[in-house]
Amino acid sequence: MSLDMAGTINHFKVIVYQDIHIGTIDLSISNTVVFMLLAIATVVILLKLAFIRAKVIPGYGQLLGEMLYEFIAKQTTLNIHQDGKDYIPLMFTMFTFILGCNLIGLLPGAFTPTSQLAVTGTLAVGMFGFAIWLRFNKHGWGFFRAFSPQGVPKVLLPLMVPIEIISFLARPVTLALRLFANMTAGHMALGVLAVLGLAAPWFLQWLPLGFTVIQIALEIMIAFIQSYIFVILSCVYIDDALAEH
Amino acid sequence: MTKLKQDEHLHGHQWGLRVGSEIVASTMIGLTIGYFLDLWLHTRPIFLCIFAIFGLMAGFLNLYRLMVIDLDAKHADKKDE
Repeated sequence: MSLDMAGTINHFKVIVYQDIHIGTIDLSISNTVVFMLLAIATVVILLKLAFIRAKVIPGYGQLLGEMLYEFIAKQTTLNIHQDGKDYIPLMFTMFTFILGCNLIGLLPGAFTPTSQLAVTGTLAVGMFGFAIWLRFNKHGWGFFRAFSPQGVPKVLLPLMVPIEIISFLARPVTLALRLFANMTAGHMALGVLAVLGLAAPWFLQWLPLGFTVIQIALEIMIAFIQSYIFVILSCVYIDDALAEH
Repeated sequence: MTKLKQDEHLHGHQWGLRVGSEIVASTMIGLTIGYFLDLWLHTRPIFLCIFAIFGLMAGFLNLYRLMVIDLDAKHADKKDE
């Protein structure tokens, strides 16, 4: 069989099913939207099923659901020192949504919404915007004082302020880029291995196809780690916004 | 809690990815600011060069901060053991 490398990137193509335009706003239903909704539905149904008959001594499903919730609750309260409890619902929603999007892409024929920079970018900018809003609410115009680090000689300020501003603005970009790059790279590696497996002579096919199994295991792990990192960093940014400077 | 060797490996992998994205993102932001300033003031390529350097510096500054947090966490882990 010939080497069909297009197969490695075909699953990143955005396909528009229904064109919807309201004014200048594009509300088209694409495969990204469909799989995001599917991810949300899966998460909601699974969590509902887990807690359908909640008992004092939990069953397997309830135990898993509680473990997931407690894990996020613990990390949120650990990382947001001030009123960390208030942010648990937001962080749990964010975590389960990203995890659902990451995992749904591992099903054969499915699309990974988080492999689109538009999706991860929107999530990251939303989180960053929320952190800025919190900071403005708490500190008012003192917000800008954070850009001039304490203890720096005045001569160095023209150098330090732009650097601080850039490092502040880089936060949502790193957040979005990391999730997007991890998901895309993982799926592309999976695609390359599968294409190689199909193109190899029959006596060698076991090698690349065997690696795809390992790669899928790695992908499941990365799906968890990336959603965890996204949530932890969001917590860190919110904590930074709430902290006194 | 004693860390498994597997966790250490995982940590290294994540650390590597983080270092990359941190420097790339900061440089990108610096370059974007420089590019638009140049476009606005018709001074190409002065601001592009200056802000590219600022971006790189910001990337390294972020890395330094991450490293300090990471080292603190490691020290805390060692104390717990």
